[in-house]
Parts: sequence; C-alpha cells; structure tokens
Amino acid sequence: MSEERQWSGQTHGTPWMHRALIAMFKVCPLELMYLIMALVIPFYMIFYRPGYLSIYHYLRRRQGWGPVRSFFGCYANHFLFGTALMDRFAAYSGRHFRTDMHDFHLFSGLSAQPEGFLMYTSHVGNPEMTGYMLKSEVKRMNVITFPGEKSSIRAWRENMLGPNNIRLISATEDMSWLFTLNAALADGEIVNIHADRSFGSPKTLEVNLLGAQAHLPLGPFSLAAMRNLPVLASFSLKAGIRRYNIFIYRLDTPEMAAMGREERQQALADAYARLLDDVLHRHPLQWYNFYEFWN
Amino acid sequence: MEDLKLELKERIIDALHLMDMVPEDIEDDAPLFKEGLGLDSIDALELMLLMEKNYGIRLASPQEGKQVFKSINTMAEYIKEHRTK
Repeated sequence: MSEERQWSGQTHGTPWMHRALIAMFKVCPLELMYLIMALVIPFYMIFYRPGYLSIYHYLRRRQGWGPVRSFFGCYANHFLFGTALMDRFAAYSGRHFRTDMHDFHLFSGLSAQPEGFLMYTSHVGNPEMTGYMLKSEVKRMNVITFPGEKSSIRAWRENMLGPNNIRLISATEDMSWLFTLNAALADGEIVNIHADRSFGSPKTLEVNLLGAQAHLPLGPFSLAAMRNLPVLASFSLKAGIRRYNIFIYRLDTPEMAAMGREERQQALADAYARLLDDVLHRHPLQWYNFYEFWN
Repeated sequence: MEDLKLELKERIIDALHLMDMVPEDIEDDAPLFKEGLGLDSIDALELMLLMEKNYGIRLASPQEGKQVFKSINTMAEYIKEHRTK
C-alpha cells in the first residue's frame, strides 16, 4: 500500500479544543450538535476534495449508485462520520448510548479459554463504541492505536476504556509496541487491531472487495496465522441518534486451522473481505476510509 | 558460537521466507532492521516467535528486545546466555 494511499492517523485540534468540545457535550443536546455539524458538512465536502471524491467513487463504482444518489450519499456519509466522532466526545463527556450486542457469546466463549485471540475492527461504523460497551471481565484487551493520536484524546480514551480492562498500545515508529503486543498474546490476552489499514509494515494481501481488487494489511492476518490464534471481527454500526448495533463474528474456521501459514493468512483475509462486503452492502454509508481504497 | 550464528541465520531465512538468500549473505554485525536486512514489524514478530519456539526465550521488555534484535551477533549472544531449550 503506497504512502499516499494511507491515512496519516492524525487526530486534529489542540488539547483545549478537545476539552472545550467535551465541555460542550455536557450541556448541549446531541441533536443540536448534529444540526450544527449538518450545516458545516457542505463546506467540508468542498474544501476536502480528496475525501469527498474517494467516497463518491466508492458509492459510484463499488456500490453501483447513480451520480445524484452518490452525491447525496457523500453528504450522508460525511454526516454519519461526523456523528460517529461526536458520539466519541459525547461518550467522553459521560453521555450514554443504547447498544444492542449481537453474538456476544462468541466473545465471552473465547475469553473463557486460556489462549489469547485477535479481534479485527475496521473503519466501518464506530469501532470505539465497541470498546465502551464490551467489558472484558476475564482477559485484558489490548487495542492497537495509530501513533498520530493527540495525547489529550488518548488520555480521555484511556480514562474511558481503562475500567473495561482495555489497554491502548500505540504503534510507534520504533519496535517497542511489538514486544508489548507479543507479550500480550503470549499471556493469553486479546489484541484488537484494525484490519483495513497498514501501519508498521507496507506488506499487504490482495482480496476481492465489493467486486474489485483491494489490499488489506498483512500484519493482522499474519499475526493470527503465525500463532494459530482464533479471530473475531466486530462492527459497531450506528442505528439511531443514541443507538448502536454491535455485531461480532467468528472469522477462523476448523478448515483454516489445518492450512499452512500462508494459506491460512490469505483465507482469513478473504473471509474478512467477504464479511466487509456483506456489512457494506447492508450499511453502505458507514464506510469511513477517506482515500482511494481500491486501485 | 559460530555454529549458533549459522543455525540462527538458517532459521531466520526459513521463518522469513528469504528464499533468495543463503546464510553467508547475512553479515554477523549488520543491522537486521531498516538499512541492513530491511526487516519490518511483521518480521520482528516472526523473530520473537522464533526465539520463543526454538530457544524458549520470551522477549517482553521493549528496551531489551531492541538491543537483542540489533544484529545476528547480539541475538546469538543473548540466546547463548538465556536459552532454556
């Protein structure tokens, strides 16, 4: 995956801006914040053309929508993405969301086993909400985060996620985070990692996603194949103003366990692409990779 | 020590699928990451697993791990002192 196709992983704004935003969420109704954002989005679409165009192309080419529907779809996508970000800040300020968890037994079942497992998330929906709702009673969950995250945001996230037995591991330029990750898996803990964006290694696996060739990062799939670990995938999808649906899926199969390493990592990537395909057909507007994902 | 270095190089070539390389291509004191062998984060995880499975060594400390993975020399010295297999 070339560098220009990757997102830098930066969070924007200064610490005081983040604090002010969180303070605002304590007093302002969420609906009012959504309304203000709805007015700002057209300007964002005009001035951040690469993001707008990537979503337009995704809706036109990969979802097969017409030009007019795709244009309005871009607006709806940007709006939903904005609500996902706002919901994060609303959660930091103490707001609660209704969450319907589907197939939680897959998570609790693996948590009860002595071995660790991987949990894949992606830039579909609002994966952060999964962390707020998914308390890991038995095992610690280690969430790999992009290094560009601002310290103030990170502190809020740690504050929110810590009580749920979740640790954030920043994927820094040096190798230090890899030792922490490796130790976590060796200790039978859970590692939660984005399976749709590269960091740390440029190697990728080719998959078919929404009818075209795409590349998923090799790292998450290689990690599972390397240690022969079970893999779950989760999607947290917005279903209303204060409502999310969290879906959990088991990705590995008994057949995969019998495969060789390279075959297994490719089989996992293909299975994940099929799952993404299905979720994106059902929720086409909650795709938040704002760059040309497909070559 | 020379036997251990040769064994280590063979295991690295096998684990990282460096099929176009032979042990003689890897210099004992050359950096393993970036400018040397050009290994990346996925390869680092492979090396950790290699140390664990073959020598019973679990590297958990980032500071120590970074020193160990500097070159074949540093890896071999660490294995010689800490191996349990």
